[in-house]
Amino acid sequence: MKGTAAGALLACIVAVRCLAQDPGEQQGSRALTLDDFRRIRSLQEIRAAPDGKSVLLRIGTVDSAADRYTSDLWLLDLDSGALRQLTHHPERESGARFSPDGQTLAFIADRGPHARVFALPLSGGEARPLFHFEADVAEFTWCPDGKHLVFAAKDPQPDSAAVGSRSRPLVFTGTQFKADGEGYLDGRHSHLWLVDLPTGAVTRLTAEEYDDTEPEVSPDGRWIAFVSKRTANPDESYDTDVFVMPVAGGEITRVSRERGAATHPRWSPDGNSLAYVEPILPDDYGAISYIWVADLADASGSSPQFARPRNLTRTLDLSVGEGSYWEGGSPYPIWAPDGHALYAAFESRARLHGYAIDARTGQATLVSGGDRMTEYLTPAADGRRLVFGTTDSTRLTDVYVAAADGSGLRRLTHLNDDWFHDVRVSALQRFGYRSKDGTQVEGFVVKPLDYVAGRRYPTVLAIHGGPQWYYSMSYSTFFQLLAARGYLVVYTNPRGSTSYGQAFSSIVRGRYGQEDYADLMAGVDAAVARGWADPKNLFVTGYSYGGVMTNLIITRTTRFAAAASGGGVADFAAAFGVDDEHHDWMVQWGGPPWRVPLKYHSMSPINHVAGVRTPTLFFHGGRDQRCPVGESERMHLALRLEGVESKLAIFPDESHEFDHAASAYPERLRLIMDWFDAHRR
Amino acid sequence: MSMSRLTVFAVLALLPCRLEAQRNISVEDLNRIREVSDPQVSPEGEWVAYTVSVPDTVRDSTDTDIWMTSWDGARSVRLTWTPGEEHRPRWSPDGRYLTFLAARDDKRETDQIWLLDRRGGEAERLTDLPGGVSDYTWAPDSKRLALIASDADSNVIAQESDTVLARRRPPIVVDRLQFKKDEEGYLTHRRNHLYLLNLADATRKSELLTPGDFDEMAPAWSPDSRSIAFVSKRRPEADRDNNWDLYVVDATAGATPRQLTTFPGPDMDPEWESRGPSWSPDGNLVAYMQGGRDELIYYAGQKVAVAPAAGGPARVLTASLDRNPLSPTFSSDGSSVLFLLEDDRVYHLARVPAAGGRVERLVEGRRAITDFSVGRGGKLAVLASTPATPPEIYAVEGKDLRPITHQNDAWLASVRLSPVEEISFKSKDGTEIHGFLVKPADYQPGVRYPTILRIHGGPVSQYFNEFDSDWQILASAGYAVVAANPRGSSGRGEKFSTAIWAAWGQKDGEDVLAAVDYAVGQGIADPARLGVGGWSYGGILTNQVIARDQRFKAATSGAGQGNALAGYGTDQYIREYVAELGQPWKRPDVWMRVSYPFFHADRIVTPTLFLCGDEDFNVPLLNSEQMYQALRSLGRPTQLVIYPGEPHGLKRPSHVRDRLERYLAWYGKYLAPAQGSAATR
Repeated sequence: MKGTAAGALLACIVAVRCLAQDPGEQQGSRALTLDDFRRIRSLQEIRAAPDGKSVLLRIGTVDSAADRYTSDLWLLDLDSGALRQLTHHPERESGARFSPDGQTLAFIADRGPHARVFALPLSGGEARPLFHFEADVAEFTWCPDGKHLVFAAKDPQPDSAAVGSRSRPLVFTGTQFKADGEGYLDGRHSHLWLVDLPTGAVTRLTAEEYDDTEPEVSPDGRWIAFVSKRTANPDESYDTDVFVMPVAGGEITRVSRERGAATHPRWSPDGNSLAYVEPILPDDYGAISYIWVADLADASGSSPQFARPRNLTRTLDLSVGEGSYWEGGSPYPIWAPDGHALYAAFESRARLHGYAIDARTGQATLVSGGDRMTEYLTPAADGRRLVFGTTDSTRLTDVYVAAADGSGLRRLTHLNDDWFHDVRVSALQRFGYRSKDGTQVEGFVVKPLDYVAGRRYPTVLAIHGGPQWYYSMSYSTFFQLLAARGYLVVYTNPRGSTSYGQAFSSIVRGRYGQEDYADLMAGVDAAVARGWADPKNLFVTGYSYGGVMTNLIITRTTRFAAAASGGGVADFAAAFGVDDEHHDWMVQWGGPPWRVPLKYHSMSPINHVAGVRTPTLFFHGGRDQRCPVGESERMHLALRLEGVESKLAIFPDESHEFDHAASAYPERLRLIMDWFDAHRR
Repeated sequence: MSMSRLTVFAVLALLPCRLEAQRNISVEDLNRIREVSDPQVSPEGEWVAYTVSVPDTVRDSTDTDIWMTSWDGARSVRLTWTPGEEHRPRWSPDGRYLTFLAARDDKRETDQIWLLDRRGGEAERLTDLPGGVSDYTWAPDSKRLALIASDADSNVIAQESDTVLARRRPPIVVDRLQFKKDEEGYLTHRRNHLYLLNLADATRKSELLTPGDFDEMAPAWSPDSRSIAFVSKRRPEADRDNNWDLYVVDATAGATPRQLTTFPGPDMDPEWESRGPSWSPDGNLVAYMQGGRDELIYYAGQKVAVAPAAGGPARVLTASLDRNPLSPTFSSDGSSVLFLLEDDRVYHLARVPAAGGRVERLVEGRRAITDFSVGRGGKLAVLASTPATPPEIYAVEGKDLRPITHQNDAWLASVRLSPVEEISFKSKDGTEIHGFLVKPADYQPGVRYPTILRIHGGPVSQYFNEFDSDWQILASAGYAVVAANPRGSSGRGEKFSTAIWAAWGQKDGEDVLAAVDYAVGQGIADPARLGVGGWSYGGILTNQVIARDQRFKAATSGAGQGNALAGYGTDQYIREYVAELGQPWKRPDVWMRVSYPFFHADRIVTPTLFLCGDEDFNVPLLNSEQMYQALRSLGRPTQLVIYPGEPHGLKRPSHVRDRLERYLAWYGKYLAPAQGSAATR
């Protein structure tokens, strides 16, 4: 359920958006409320400023009046910790990049009529659009002369409103014609373009029917590295590769060699090497992503020759992690300014740990470990300091600075202190337990705020999405709200979860509801056995794949007093071709529904719904293209026809990401908690 | 009638050197002239902030942006780039911020205060006052701002809503004596009040300082940041007179304002003076403008006065000057008061000792200095124009001006301008009258040219040594332009201004005709091809002249009036009419006398083009309609051009251009200028 990786995130998102703060136990005086959600300032990006003294931050906030998420760019002084807001526009800014001379900050923003590149002079004054282009700019990179940019954008098209788009059918011939969050795809491809800034002249660099993305210009200004899926049938493959072409246009050379999805090309500071991220295992979105370096062997000709790429992190055998704000993606790898090492955070047993990887030997040195998440690990431009965000279960993310070896950690920001300082939070506690087949599984418990040892509490089992994703050790608004309402929250990383090794994760592919189900139930058993959970007051909830599992669980057990299932699937055959990830289903289930009908039939909760007794809340985004809204509708109908209490809550404007209205997510939490409250026994 | 003084100032414009010109100026050049205004020297004296306005022909509006130029003139930075109008730039006294007003991101399209961090970054919106902010000023401590904001407009709020019901516009209920004002519309009890904004208050909520059914304006902080001086008429039925006074209020909510001046006429008449009063550096005195006797209305001469801040009798500093001062401002050492001095066809920068004494003209010359800014350590920047150069900012160095801005240099280098000569001549009764003569482009001595008499508005204003694009474009089109400052004009003392009291069209009519006689007498004007035209009082006097004299072959009468009785109650001049003419039912003879053009419309033979904006509340459209109707009924060649949505001063670049093109076409049709002139190209 590849797409559900994003969905999975969602389950954690809150986590991420809400990331938490301050060393030690938070000893505030009041409990967290739903209203606090809109107060959260979340770190979404760190980028080193060329002066070596500061870093750029992107900080997300909730615009309550407009009911949406937004973000702004800030400059953080690494010595004083002084934080200065650079943008104030109601639309978010993204993709910020300093100009080669360090005098200008360019970023992408949709300030009408579409997404454009803006230039903000750092000496003062407001941002202005850098050049004119009639379509959304998705990504861009400066050329080292500061006079050119390479950007990725789709072809401009005539204003669709002018040709009566409402009456015009959308026509498709390929197999991938929709995507969650975007809706129906328009068939246009992302190409690379070169703009000459002094004249504003835009030149097309690529034209083929592929999506060319992530352009990165080499330090000598000769080459563009980019990511594309230049295969015969790109809709039926995840195998993106890193390619290189001359900035002047010309032959395109493939650099990455594996069958996994290669992404994130990064030129070394001397321009002699190209690093990128690529898994070895194909067709598995839970595959471990390795850092590779390809050395430039011969740059004398019109197309560069690269030596065979070296897998730098084969021995470390951890997967390169996210930033970790869900929308920001991964910033990694990042070269040390002197080119001797590459920095990245890696997924390590529910944590993100920062490592420096020697660019020659691949030797990995831990620079930020511990029971916390390391986010946006970034070397300052002076190379002497590391900057990163950290969060754990009691603290929202703040920015820290440390020496290049990770020593001398010092907190620089206090993004949420103004409101979070008097909030009481409950720290998570890790617990290991054995599953039915003896496999060791890691679980976490967040106890109610006024927890008294020896007392049993109503307990919520939370199931993350993915399934190839993981519950991390970051702060979670949802779990803290449950703790404030007197619930004990049990959440675990059952088989299928990432960050515990490839085998632990991949075993779940094509076998949902077996090892993962056993691991989840064993987690509940452990919570009961340890005297935490009241077995009469057990609840279960999950979103995306977590919703699939919730649907499955209510068909298999009656131990839960109530369930809340969000963004899940009821009938994999019915969802096939209606959702946006048919390829992953074919890989996992071994073919389309008409080839392996029994597989789809047995996997689908709807076929086992007879006899369900658990009162269940279904919630779903009306514009969900990942797990279509019909799946919750179907489950709700089935439960009602079976005479079981059920409630269906549809958020009409939400996609699977659930990020359209800022009020949608807290409203979803309110619905779930009220549902559980109403079913406490 | 009086096109207000402020409007006159808005159009002011100097140039030290003439560059080799390349082409004759044309209507197209209206879009190329960059209007510089509002110079503000930064606290450290290194920069001058100002605004630059250019016509935006796409949006058909004015694009005003904030710029700053280094004191040495070497570096210019454009600080804002959005298409709307950013204006009123003000430095925080500590130099950290530059604030400005803009209506961006505001559904109600009202101006709010924006804060720009001088270290870099985009501006942040500081206020959200539903009625909009019209004026503001920084406290010397840089921690607070005093601002003037209007009460919310219920009609505008209704339009924000989407429902038909809410969009229904409520009736406007009128019960004020003065119930109309151009550019403001119908005056109700929606008032302008003084507010206090504390930057340290994170809620950014502005505190109302002066509630009540009064308007407050022009706030000025005392040097100790404890109190604010402002201008108001804080008494019932205040519309009945123009007796504005200065008040002082402690800068704390709930404080009671105390009246500082008691002169029975206007102190700081807002029609004259938009700048706030000026505190002496020691806080003991407040400098301001004292008007004349209230019954003399706008004909009265103005004086510079100082009042003790603690209370007590005020002292007039320019009692014997008999010239209008403007914008009195204490010098940084407090020893003198700087002000602009309006003299015959020029504006000087002048000063008078704070203790009283001789008025000294700091910068003389045949030009117009129309604004100035005082920096610490005596740095002085002025906005200056000559007939050959649009307004630019200059540094005062001794008696000389050194250019700081060069916004129009490139344009000036590309066009050929006609020299503007100052002329003097005798009127019918022997009175010496002053004016200007512009010979047509490519003027050949001995050849007589079609000649246009231009008449200024006011009546109490004057043509002076500033850049006038209309004159240049008419001259470029082959016309000689003659302009007079007839009796009623300012610049030559109060007696000269009051000479037309209740006798419009008589002495001043003779004076402008004498200008034409002069041009004919010089062998320049062709007596058979004479045209006349003006706007506002210039339109009124045009109507007077064509009804009294039949020599003109074409006239353009913009926003004029022929029948003062039609203006009573329909325009904004109720108090002025009664003061000058008496009540219509008591003095019908006087009203009839000044209404000569309408009651003698049958004497008019000149083909006349009438023009007016349909939202003009100064000299409303109905007056032009009435004159058009009269001439049309009489079978005279005439036409009426109505500019939709326009107040007294046209706003839209397309309308400004259209007006000039219509002048050229109308005069072209009846006066036949030489072939091959620039306008026909």
